[in-house]
Amino acid sequence: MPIEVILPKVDMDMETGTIEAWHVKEGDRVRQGDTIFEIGTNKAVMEVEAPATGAIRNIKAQIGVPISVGTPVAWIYLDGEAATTPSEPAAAAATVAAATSVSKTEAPAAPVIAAAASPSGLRATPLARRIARQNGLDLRTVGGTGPRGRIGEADVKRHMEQRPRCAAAQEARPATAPSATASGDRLQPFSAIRRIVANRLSESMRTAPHFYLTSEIEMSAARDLLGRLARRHERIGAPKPSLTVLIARVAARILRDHPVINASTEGEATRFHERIDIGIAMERDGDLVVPVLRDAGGMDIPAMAREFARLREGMAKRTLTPAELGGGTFTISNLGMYGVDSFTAIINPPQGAILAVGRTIDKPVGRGGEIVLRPMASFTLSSDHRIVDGVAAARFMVDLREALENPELLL
Amino acid sequence: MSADQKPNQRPELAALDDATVAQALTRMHLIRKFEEAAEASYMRGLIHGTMHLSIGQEASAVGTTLPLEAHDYILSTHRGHGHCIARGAEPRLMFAEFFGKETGYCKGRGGSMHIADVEGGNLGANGIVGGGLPIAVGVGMSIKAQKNGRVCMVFFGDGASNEGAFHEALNMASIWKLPVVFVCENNKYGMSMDIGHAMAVANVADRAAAYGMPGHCLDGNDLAGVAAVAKVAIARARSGEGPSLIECKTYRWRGHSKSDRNLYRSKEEIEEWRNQDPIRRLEDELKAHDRFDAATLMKLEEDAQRDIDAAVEFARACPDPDPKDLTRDVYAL
Ligand SMILES: Cc1ncc(C[n+]2csc(CCOP(=O)(O)OP(=O)(O)O)c2C)c(N)n1
Repeated sequence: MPIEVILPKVDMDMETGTIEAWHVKEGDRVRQGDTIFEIGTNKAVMEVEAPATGAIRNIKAQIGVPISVGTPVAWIYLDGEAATTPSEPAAAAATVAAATSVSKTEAPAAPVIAAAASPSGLRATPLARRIARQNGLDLRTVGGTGPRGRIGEADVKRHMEQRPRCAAAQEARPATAPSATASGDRLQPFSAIRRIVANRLSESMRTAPHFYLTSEIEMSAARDLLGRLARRHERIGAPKPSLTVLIARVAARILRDHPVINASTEGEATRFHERIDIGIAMERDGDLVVPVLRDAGGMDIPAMAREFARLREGMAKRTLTPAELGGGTFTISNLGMYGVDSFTAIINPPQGAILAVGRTIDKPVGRGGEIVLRPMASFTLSSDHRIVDGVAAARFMVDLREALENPELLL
Repeated sequence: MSADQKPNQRPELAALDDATVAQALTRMHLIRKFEEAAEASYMRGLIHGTMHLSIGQEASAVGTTLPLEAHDYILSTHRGHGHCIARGAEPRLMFAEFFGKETGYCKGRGGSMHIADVEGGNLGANGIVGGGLPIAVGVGMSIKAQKNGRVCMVFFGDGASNEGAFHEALNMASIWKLPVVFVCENNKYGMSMDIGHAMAVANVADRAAAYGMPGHCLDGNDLAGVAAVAKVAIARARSGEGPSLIECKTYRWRGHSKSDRNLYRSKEEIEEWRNQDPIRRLEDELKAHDRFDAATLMKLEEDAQRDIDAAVEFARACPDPDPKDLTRDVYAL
């Protein structure tokens, strides 16, 4: 009897997992303990070892498709065992199909890449594997320039530029124009990160009664200050501070006076955080990630600019740890650089509030009985009404306006 | 020592008669097979929560408890399956507990980290690192007050020995000469923290000097050696001379818990320790001294596997708790 290889539960709250990469291919000989595939959970990528020594066959599971825990994904045939496809694997293969979210009718159109196409024994960085997968690229066709021939991100990108799109690549790419027929659609299972974002934000909208306060704030003084800070930072060798950094600094300062905005819900209690950890919403390869300025309350602007630059770089290089990407006490989301005037953001649970920042643009405003042009920006605070009341949120907005319009008051 | 044993046998091994050593080996097999089966069940999603496996550490659990008497107590840890089985727990009731069944040791309410069997002398595992240490002091005081001649053996990890509770417990147990044996299972890591970064002394046993008690630093994968030292410490505790600290240097082959990515240690290191498998070491030594032949040893292992398979079958067929009993054993709110 061949030994079943299942998709194992590797984390406490895991019900499904996704195979991110196979390290072996059909018919390969594996030794007990060899890594045979990588599995992505909500939290991390884990390596799964072969449960026995023998030949691996009937690899059923596709890459990138969520599979229920305990589903057989392949079989290991012990030495001397007949290599015919036994009936059990065939029957269980149906379980795999049933366990995945791809229904029978959708299956032919689903552009999931068959596991058989997965390169085995290839050395490639996880990022290279991901890009290749996203683009329907067979890694075996890509030459690696890294240590011991390892394929890196640059290798994959260069390969994609040099080669005309192959059929497989086109199939895996999003259709450029929405087509009337379903055959042009693309069904892409959630990535591990997308799943977290989806779950957390749905939970937030479902459980946290959101309300929104918007203020238009004049940015002349903040702009001037940023200009002066840029010169000073150049002298002291700190990165040039962005508007986001300045807003984070201002928020960190005034949050001290607004403990209920720097708070989280915890069951039927409010947790007032002693430390101010400000999450900054950012985008990475189409995914939302929120690196955290830890202990932002204790940072001056140069320190904050440095930390911000470090987080940004770490995010791009994927060197940030999960701890650096979670656990903030307040979040700022700035979409001003994309020309967005104003917007409302969904609270990052269990936090109690999030600040959405729009673009700064000259607008006519009344000043001393005259209509004048001033750089204005719109700030919208989303609050969880379970723990934050309207007046408390409004007081925060008053201080935010005062601080941004008169940043010297913070000194 | 029986007459027909080969010469040159270590006194520690010679001190264990065939029946005792066979029982010890069986218990080590049971622990290994139990945990492998628990792991397989977990991977299939049949067990909820997390669990901490002690595969590779069996000699420490079995060796230290071997000289205990039936009425003695143990206190276990989050990595406690081995302690329970070594103390004679029934694998089928443990599995029932893991599967959340009414027949489990704690009626399915406790799971992997909270197995207790008071009648069986197991006062309970504890999810709090170092949590058993102060309790052991209390148990020691109770034994002393009742003058019932028992001994309490408490297990904990290297990580726990850096908790304040460890130092307070050893100090008080020593001042009052309590009948406690402190057993530190030093498997080199507290989660992902290497002991080298967590301790200023080389051995946990070195800390015994601060509390005026004997400290024994042992090869924790040597069943006979562990049993010999445990015997001395247990006798000392029972005679009213006070506690001892035993450190078993050992290694967990598996990750800290089920969600460990093993990023803090190398495959080579794990391999190195796999080569010091406490079960194979004992078997090899028994064979070398002609005490057991290969077929007998094989049978012990197969019997243990059969027992564990049957235990899983039993537990899976047991009834689930009835929701109406939700508050039955709740005595405080
Ligand atoms: C008081 C407390 N702190 C932290 C934890 C989280 N935790 C669980 S196990 C563990 C490591 C324990 O290491 P060690 O005592 O060496 O035991 P081992 O896991 O190595 O057997 C930690 C920190 C806990 N359960 N309790």
